[in-house]
Amino acid sequence: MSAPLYINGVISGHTNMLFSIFGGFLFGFFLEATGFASGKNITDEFYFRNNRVIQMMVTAILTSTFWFLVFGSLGLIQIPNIWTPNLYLWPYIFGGLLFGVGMAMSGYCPGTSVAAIASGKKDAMVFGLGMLVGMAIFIFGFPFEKDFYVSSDLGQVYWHTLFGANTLVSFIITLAIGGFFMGFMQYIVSYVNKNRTESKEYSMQYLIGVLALIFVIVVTVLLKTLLPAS
Amino acid sequence: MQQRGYWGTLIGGFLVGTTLFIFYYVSGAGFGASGGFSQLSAFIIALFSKSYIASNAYTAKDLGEHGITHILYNRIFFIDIGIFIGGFVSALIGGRLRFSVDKGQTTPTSYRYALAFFGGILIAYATRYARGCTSGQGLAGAGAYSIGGWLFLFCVFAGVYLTARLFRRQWL
Repeated sequence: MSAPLYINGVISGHTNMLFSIFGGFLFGFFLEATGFASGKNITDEFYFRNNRVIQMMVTAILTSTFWFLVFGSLGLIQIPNIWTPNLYLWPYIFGGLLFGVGMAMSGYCPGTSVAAIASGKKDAMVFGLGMLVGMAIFIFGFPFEKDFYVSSDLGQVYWHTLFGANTLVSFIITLAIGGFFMGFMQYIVSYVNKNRTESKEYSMQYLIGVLALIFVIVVTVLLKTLLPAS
Repeated sequence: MQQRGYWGTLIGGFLVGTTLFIFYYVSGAGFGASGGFSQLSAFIIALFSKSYIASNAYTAKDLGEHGITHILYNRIFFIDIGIFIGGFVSALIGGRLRFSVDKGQTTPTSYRYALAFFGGILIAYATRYARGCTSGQGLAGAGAYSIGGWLFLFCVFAGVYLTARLFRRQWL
Protein backbone atom coordinates (compact mmCIF):
# COMPACT_ATOMS: atom_id res chain seq x y z
CA MET A 1 0.00 0.00 0.00
CA SER A 2 0.93 3.62 0.15
CA ALA A 3 2.25 4.40 3.62
CA PRO A 4 4.62 5.95 4.64
CA LEU A 5 2.81 8.64 2.67
CA TYR A 6 5.58 11.21 2.24
CA ILE A 7 8.37 8.77 1.43
CA ASN A 8 6.16 6.95 -1.08
CA GLY A 9 5.32 10.23 -2.78
CA VAL A 10 1.63 10.32 -1.84
CA ILE A 11 1.89 13.74 -0.19
CA SER A 12 4.19 16.64 -1.03
CA GLY A 13 7.01 18.09 1.05
CA HIS A 14 4.94 21.14 1.94
CA THR A 15 2.04 18.99 3.11
CA ASN A 16 4.49 17.00 5.19
CA MET A 17 5.65 20.21 6.86
CA LEU A 18 2.07 21.20 7.64
CA PHE A 19 1.43 17.77 9.05
CA SER A 20 4.57 18.15 11.20
CA ILE A 21 3.09 21.20 12.90
CA PHE A 22 -0.14 19.30 13.53
CA GLY A 23 1.65 16.20 14.81
CA GLY A 24 3.88 18.37 16.99
CA PHE A 25 0.75 20.03 18.38
CA LEU A 26 -0.60 16.66 19.50
CA PHE A 27 2.75 15.68 21.01
CA GLY A 28 3.12 18.98 22.88
CA PHE A 29 -0.47 18.87 24.07
CA PHE A 30 -0.14 15.33 25.44
CA LEU A 31 3.20 16.10 27.09
CA GLU A 32 1.81 19.13 28.91
CA ALA A 33 -1.48 17.43 29.79
CA THR A 34 0.40 14.52 31.39
CA GLY A 35 2.50 16.93 33.44
CA PHE A 36 5.85 16.70 31.66
CA ALA A 37 6.16 20.39 30.87
CA SER A 38 7.76 20.64 34.30
CA GLY A 39 11.31 19.85 35.30
CA LYS A 40 10.12 19.09 38.81
CA ASN A 41 7.66 16.45 37.60
CA ILE A 42 10.27 14.92 35.29
CA THR A 43 12.99 14.69 37.93
CA ASP A 44 10.56 13.12 40.42
CA GLU A 45 11.41 9.95 38.52
CA PHE A 46 15.15 10.25 39.26
CA TYR A 47 14.55 10.58 43.02
CA PHE A 48 11.90 7.84 43.14
CA ARG A 49 8.98 10.14 44.01
CA ASN A 50 6.94 8.27 41.39
CA ASN A 51 7.40 6.23 38.22
CA ARG A 52 5.44 8.39 35.80
CA VAL A 53 8.17 9.22 33.29
CA ILE A 54 9.08 5.58 32.69
CA GLN A 55 5.41 4.51 32.59
CA MET A 56 4.75 7.14 29.94
CA MET A 57 7.83 6.33 27.86
CA VAL A 58 7.37 2.56 27.91
CA THR A 59 3.64 2.83 27.15
CA ALA A 60 4.37 5.13 24.21
CA ILE A 61 7.05 2.79 22.83
CA LEU A 62 4.85 -0.30 23.22
CA THR A 63 1.87 1.48 21.63
CA SER A 64 3.85 2.62 18.62
CA THR A 65 5.49 -0.77 18.06
CA PHE A 66 2.08 -2.44 18.46
CA TRP A 67 0.63 -0.25 15.68
CA PHE A 68 3.64 -1.13 13.53
CA LEU A 69 2.91 -4.80 14.10
CA VAL A 70 -0.80 -4.43 13.25
CA PHE A 71 -0.48 -2.10 10.26
CA GLY A 72 2.58 -3.93 8.98
CA SER A 73 0.91 -7.34 9.03
CA LEU A 74 -2.19 -5.89 7.32
CA GLY A 75 0.11 -4.54 4.60
CA LEU A 76 -0.94 -0.96 5.34
CA ILE A 77 2.58 0.36 5.93
CA GLN A 78 5.87 -0.62 4.35
CA ILE A 79 8.13 -0.91 7.38
CA PRO A 80 11.38 -1.17 5.36
CA ASN A 81 10.59 2.26 3.90
CA ILE A 82 10.54 4.14 7.19
CA TRP A 83 13.53 6.23 8.21
CA THR A 84 15.39 6.04 11.48
CA PRO A 85 18.87 7.45 11.97
CA ASN A 86 21.89 5.25 11.35
CA LEU A 87 23.40 3.72 14.46
CA TYR A 88 26.77 5.35 15.17
CA LEU A 89 27.85 3.16 18.06
CA TRP A 90 30.45 5.18 19.99
CA PRO A 91 28.96 8.61 19.26
CA TYR A 92 25.59 7.28 20.52
CA ILE A 93 27.10 6.00 23.76
CA PHE A 94 29.05 9.22 24.30
CA GLY A 95 26.03 11.36 23.42
CA GLY A 96 23.64 9.30 25.55
CA LEU A 97 25.77 9.47 28.70
CA LEU A 98 26.39 13.21 28.28
CA PHE A 99 22.68 13.75 27.62
CA GLY A 100 21.89 11.93 30.86
CA VAL A 101 24.17 14.21 32.88
CA GLY A 102 22.58 17.25 31.23
CA MET A 103 19.11 15.93 31.99
CA ALA A 104 19.93 15.32 35.66
CA MET A 105 21.26 18.89 35.82
CA SER A 106 18.46 20.65 33.98
CA GLY A 107 15.44 18.41 34.47
CA TYR A 108 14.37 18.86 30.87
CA CYS A 109 14.88 17.21 27.54
CA PRO A 110 14.46 19.18 24.30
CA GLY A 111 10.84 18.16 23.58
CA THR A 112 9.52 18.74 27.09
CA SER A 113 11.40 22.04 27.30
CA VAL A 114 9.50 23.44 24.31
CA ALA A 115 6.17 22.58 25.95
CA ALA A 116 7.48 23.99 29.25
CA ILE A 117 8.55 27.26 27.60
CA ALA A 118 5.06 27.53 26.12
CA SER A 119 3.49 27.11 29.56
CA GLY A 120 5.63 29.90 31.01
CA LYS A 121 8.42 28.04 32.82
CA LYS A 122 11.27 30.52 33.06
CA ASP A 123 13.84 27.84 33.89
CA ALA A 124 12.88 26.09 30.64
CA MET A 125 13.52 29.35 28.76
CA VAL A 126 17.00 29.49 30.28
CA PHE A 127 17.42 25.84 29.30
CA GLY A 128 16.42 26.73 25.72
CA LEU A 129 19.07 29.46 25.63
CA GLY A 130 21.61 26.91 26.85
CA MET A 131 20.49 24.58 24.04
CA LEU A 132 21.10 27.28 21.43
CA VAL A 133 24.57 27.92 22.87
CA GLY A 134 25.33 24.19 22.94
CA MET A 135 24.27 23.82 19.30
CA ALA A 136 26.48 26.77 18.34
CA ILE A 137 29.43 25.17 20.16
CA PHE A 138 28.86 22.00 18.15
CA ILE A 139 28.60 23.88 14.86
CA PHE A 140 31.74 25.95 15.48
CA GLY A 141 33.64 22.89 16.64
CA PHE A 142 32.49 20.66 13.77
CA PRO A 143 35.82 20.63 11.89
CA PHE A 144 37.42 19.05 14.98
CA GLU A 145 34.49 16.77 15.82
CA LYS A 146 33.75 15.43 12.37
CA ASP A 147 35.91 12.29 12.55
CA PHE A 148 34.32 11.02 15.75
CA TYR A 149 30.87 12.23 14.65
CA VAL A 150 30.77 9.87 11.67
CA SER A 151 32.71 7.01 13.27
CA SER A 152 31.45 3.43 13.85
CA ASP A 153 28.49 3.75 11.47
CA LEU A 154 26.48 0.50 11.64
CA GLY A 155 23.68 1.66 9.34
CA GLN A 156 20.00 1.32 10.27
CA VAL A 157 19.84 -1.57 12.70
CA TYR A 158 16.56 -3.04 13.95
CA TRP A 159 16.05 -6.02 16.24
CA HIS A 160 14.58 -8.03 13.37
CA THR A 161 17.40 -7.18 10.98
CA LEU A 162 20.01 -8.01 13.62
CA PHE A 163 18.51 -11.44 14.25
CA GLY A 164 17.34 -12.03 10.67
CA ALA A 165 13.75 -12.38 11.95
CA ASN A 166 10.41 -10.64 11.36
CA THR A 167 8.87 -7.68 13.18
CA LEU A 168 6.94 -9.95 15.57
CA VAL A 169 10.29 -10.90 17.11
CA SER A 170 11.14 -7.20 17.36
CA PHE A 171 7.85 -6.53 19.11
CA ILE A 172 8.41 -9.36 21.59
CA ILE A 173 11.90 -8.05 22.38
CA THR A 174 10.50 -4.51 22.83
CA LEU A 175 7.76 -5.88 25.09
CA ALA A 176 10.30 -7.83 27.12
CA ILE A 177 12.73 -4.93 27.64
CA GLY A 178 10.03 -2.31 28.17
CA GLY A 179 7.84 -4.48 30.40
CA PHE A 180 10.75 -5.65 32.53
CA PHE A 181 12.17 -2.15 32.89
CA MET A 182 8.83 -0.58 33.81
CA GLY A 183 8.04 -3.32 36.32
CA PHE A 184 11.52 -3.17 37.81
CA MET A 185 11.30 0.62 38.26
CA GLN A 186 7.81 0.24 39.75
CA TYR A 187 9.29 -2.12 42.33
CA ILE A 188 12.29 0.15 43.09
CA VAL A 189 10.04 3.19 43.57
CA SER A 190 7.82 1.39 46.07
CA TYR A 191 10.89 -0.12 47.77
CA VAL A 192 12.54 3.30 48.26
CA ASN A 193 9.32 4.86 49.51
CA LYS A 194 9.00 2.29 52.28
CA ASN A 195 11.11 3.90 55.02
CA ARG A 196 12.81 6.33 52.68
CA THR A 197 16.36 7.25 53.64
CA GLU A 198 18.93 9.18 51.62
CA SER A 199 21.39 6.31 51.53
CA LYS A 200 18.67 3.98 50.25
CA GLU A 201 17.85 6.48 47.51
CA TYR A 202 21.51 6.85 46.49
CA SER A 203 22.23 3.13 46.45
CA MET A 204 19.19 2.52 44.22
CA GLN A 205 20.34 5.28 41.86
CA TYR A 206 23.73 3.60 41.56
CA LEU A 207 22.09 0.21 41.08
CA ILE A 208 19.95 1.48 38.19
CA GLY A 209 22.88 3.36 36.66
CA VAL A 210 25.07 0.25 36.75
CA LEU A 211 22.30 -2.01 35.37
CA ALA A 212 21.72 0.46 32.53
CA LEU A 213 25.45 0.37 31.75
CA ILE A 214 25.34 -3.44 31.72
CA PHE A 215 22.46 -3.29 29.22
CA VAL A 216 24.54 -0.94 27.05
CA ILE A 217 27.54 -3.29 27.20
CA VAL A 218 25.40 -6.33 26.31
CA VAL A 219 23.86 -4.54 23.31
CA THR A 220 27.30 -3.34 22.19
CA VAL A 221 28.69 -6.88 22.35
CA LEU A 222 25.61 -8.19 20.46
CA LEU A 223 26.07 -5.59 17.74
CA LYS A 224 29.81 -6.27 17.51
CA THR A 225 29.31 -10.04 17.24
CA LEU A 226 26.26 -10.23 15.00
CA LEU A 227 26.94 -7.41 12.58
CA PRO A 228 29.61 -8.02 9.97
CA ALA A 229 32.50 -5.52 9.88
CA SER A 230 31.79 -2.29 11.69
CA MET B 1 -1.46 17.50 45.22
CA GLN B 2 1.33 18.01 42.69
CA GLN B 3 -0.27 15.71 40.14
CA ARG B 4 -3.87 16.93 40.39
CA GLY B 5 -5.37 17.68 37.02
CA TYR B 6 -2.82 15.73 35.02
CA TRP B 7 -3.82 12.89 32.75
CA GLY B 8 -2.76 9.38 33.67
CA THR B 9 0.50 8.12 32.19
CA LEU B 10 -1.08 5.10 30.52
CA ILE B 11 -3.53 7.18 28.50
CA GLY B 12 -0.83 9.83 27.88
CA GLY B 13 1.65 7.18 26.78
CA PHE B 14 -0.95 5.54 24.53
CA LEU B 15 -1.73 8.88 22.86
CA VAL B 16 1.95 9.84 22.45
CA GLY B 17 2.73 6.38 21.03
CA THR B 18 -0.18 6.65 18.61
CA THR B 19 0.97 10.14 17.59
CA LEU B 20 4.42 8.70 17.01
CA PHE B 21 3.01 5.98 14.76
CA ILE B 22 0.99 8.56 12.81
CA PHE B 23 4.27 10.40 12.20
CA TYR B 24 5.76 7.23 10.74
CA TYR B 25 2.62 6.58 8.73
CA VAL B 26 2.50 10.06 7.21
CA SER B 27 6.11 11.30 7.14
CA GLY B 28 7.94 7.99 7.26
CA ALA B 29 10.01 9.31 10.17
CA GLY B 30 9.29 9.83 13.84
CA PHE B 31 8.89 13.04 15.80
CA GLY B 32 11.84 14.91 17.26
CA ALA B 33 12.73 18.14 18.99
CA SER B 34 16.45 18.78 19.25
CA GLY B 35 16.95 19.34 15.52
CA GLY B 36 14.80 22.48 15.71
CA PHE B 37 17.20 24.04 18.23
CA SER B 38 20.12 23.16 15.96
CA GLN B 39 18.45 24.83 12.97
CA LEU B 40 17.51 27.89 15.03
CA SER B 41 21.07 28.20 16.30
CA ALA B 42 22.46 27.92 12.77
CA PHE B 43 19.90 30.51 11.62
CA ILE B 44 21.01 32.98 14.31
CA ILE B 45 24.66 32.48 13.35
CA ALA B 46 23.70 33.00 9.69
CA LEU B 47 22.12 36.35 10.57
CA PHE B 48 25.64 37.48 11.49
CA SER B 49 27.61 35.57 8.89
CA LYS B 50 25.93 33.67 6.09
CA SER B 51 29.30 32.81 4.61
CA TYR B 52 30.34 30.98 7.78
CA ILE B 53 27.24 28.77 7.67
CA ALA B 54 27.87 28.13 3.98
CA SER B 55 31.46 27.08 4.67
CA ASN B 56 30.72 24.88 7.68
CA ALA B 57 30.42 21.23 6.63
CA TYR B 58 27.67 20.60 9.19
CA THR B 59 25.38 23.48 8.24
CA ALA B 60 26.16 24.08 4.54
CA LYS B 61 23.45 21.64 3.41
CA ASP B 62 20.75 23.69 5.18
CA LEU B 63 21.20 26.73 2.96
CA GLY B 64 18.77 26.52 0.08
CA GLU B 65 18.07 28.79 -2.82
CA HIS B 66 15.82 31.00 -0.70
CA GLY B 67 18.64 32.22 1.51
CA ILE B 68 19.02 31.77 5.23
CA THR B 69 15.31 31.37 6.03
CA HIS B 70 15.63 28.01 4.30
CA ILE B 71 17.53 26.87 7.39
CA LEU B 72 14.24 27.00 9.29
CA TYR B 73 12.31 25.16 6.58
CA ASN B 74 12.98 21.99 8.51
CA ARG B 75 10.64 19.20 9.55
CA ILE B 76 11.83 19.10 13.16
CA PHE B 77 11.67 22.88 13.52
CA PHE B 78 8.04 22.72 12.39
CA ILE B 79 7.37 19.96 14.91
CA ASP B 80 8.83 22.22 17.62
CA ILE B 81 6.43 24.97 16.58
CA GLY B 82 3.63 22.42 16.94
CA ILE B 83 4.88 21.30 20.38
CA PHE B 84 4.95 24.95 21.46
CA ILE B 85 1.37 25.58 20.38
CA GLY B 86 0.18 22.26 21.81
CA GLY B 87 1.91 22.88 25.14
CA PHE B 88 0.44 26.38 25.25
CA VAL B 89 -3.11 25.25 24.55
CA SER B 90 -2.93 22.39 27.06
CA ALA B 91 -1.51 24.68 29.76
CA LEU B 92 -4.25 27.21 28.99
CA ILE B 93 -7.00 24.61 29.27
CA GLY B 94 -5.46 23.13 32.41
CA GLY B 95 -5.10 26.52 34.10
CA ARG B 96 -1.31 26.09 34.34
CA LEU B 97 -0.36 28.99 32.09
CA ARG B 98 1.76 31.36 34.21
CA PHE B 99 5.34 32.57 34.46
CA SER B 100 7.03 30.48 37.09
CA VAL B 101 10.30 28.75 37.94
CA ASP B 102 10.38 25.02 38.61
CA LYS B 103 12.56 24.49 41.67
CA GLY B 104 12.56 23.57 45.34
CA GLN B 105 11.14 26.06 47.82
CA THR B 106 14.47 27.08 49.31
CA THR B 107 16.52 26.84 46.11
CA PRO B 108 18.01 30.14 44.92
CA THR B 109 16.60 30.97 41.48
CA SER B 110 20.07 31.76 40.12
CA TYR B 111 21.29 28.29 41.09
CA ARG B 112 18.37 26.69 39.26
CA TYR B 113 18.98 28.88 36.20
CA ALA B 114 22.68 27.99 36.16
CA LEU B 115 21.93 24.26 36.19
CA ALA B 116 19.23 24.63 33.54
CA PHE B 117 21.58 26.65 31.33
CA PHE B 118 24.60 24.35 31.57
CA GLY B 119 22.40 21.27 31.34
CA GLY B 120 20.98 22.76 28.14
CA ILE B 121 24.45 23.18 26.69
CA LEU B 122 25.41 19.58 27.52
CA ILE B 123 22.14 18.19 26.14
CA ALA B 124 22.35 20.16 22.90
CA TYR B 125 25.93 19.06 22.31
CA ALA B 126 25.05 15.44 23.15
CA THR B 127 22.07 15.30 20.79
CA ARG B 128 24.28 16.03 17.79
CA TYR B 129 26.35 12.90 18.42
CA ALA B 130 23.30 10.81 19.29
CA ARG B 131 21.37 12.09 16.22
CA GLY B 132 18.45 13.09 18.36
CA CYS B 133 17.07 13.44 21.85
CA THR B 134 14.78 11.38 24.06
CA SER B 135 11.98 12.09 21.56
CA GLY B 136 13.70 11.84 18.19
CA GLN B 137 16.15 9.10 19.06
CA GLY B 138 14.81 7.43 22.20
CA LEU B 139 11.05 7.19 21.72
CA ALA B 140 11.02 7.41 17.93
CA GLY B 141 13.84 4.87 17.64
CA ALA B 142 12.64 2.35 20.21
CA GLY B 143 9.07 2.85 18.95
CA ALA B 144 10.15 1.68 15.50
CA TYR B 145 12.18 -1.38 16.59
CA SER B 146 15.48 0.48 16.21
CA ILE B 147 18.25 -0.81 18.46
CA GLY B 148 19.93 2.59 18.53
CA GLY B 149 16.91 4.04 20.30
CA TRP B 150 17.20 1.59 23.19
CA LEU B 151 20.97 1.92 23.31
CA PHE B 152 20.62 5.69 23.57
CA LEU B 153 17.85 5.51 26.19
CA PHE B 154 19.82 3.26 28.52
CA CYS B 155 22.92 5.45 28.12
CA VAL B 156 20.72 8.37 29.17
CA PHE B 157 19.40 6.47 32.20
CA ALA B 158 22.96 5.54 33.19
CA GLY B 159 24.02 9.19 32.91
CA VAL B 160 20.95 10.42 34.79
CA TYR B 161 20.97 7.97 37.70
CA LEU B 162 24.73 8.04 38.27
CA THR B 163 24.80 11.85 38.55
CA ALA B 164 21.29 12.78 39.82
CA ARG B 165 22.61 12.84 43.39
CA LEU B 166 24.84 15.84 42.57
CA PHE B 167 21.90 17.97 41.44
CA ARG B 168 19.34 16.89 44.00
CA ARG B 169 19.60 20.08 46.05
CA GLN B 170 17.80 22.22 43.44
CA TRP B 171 14.52 20.39 44.09
CA LEU B 172 14.55 20.47 47.90
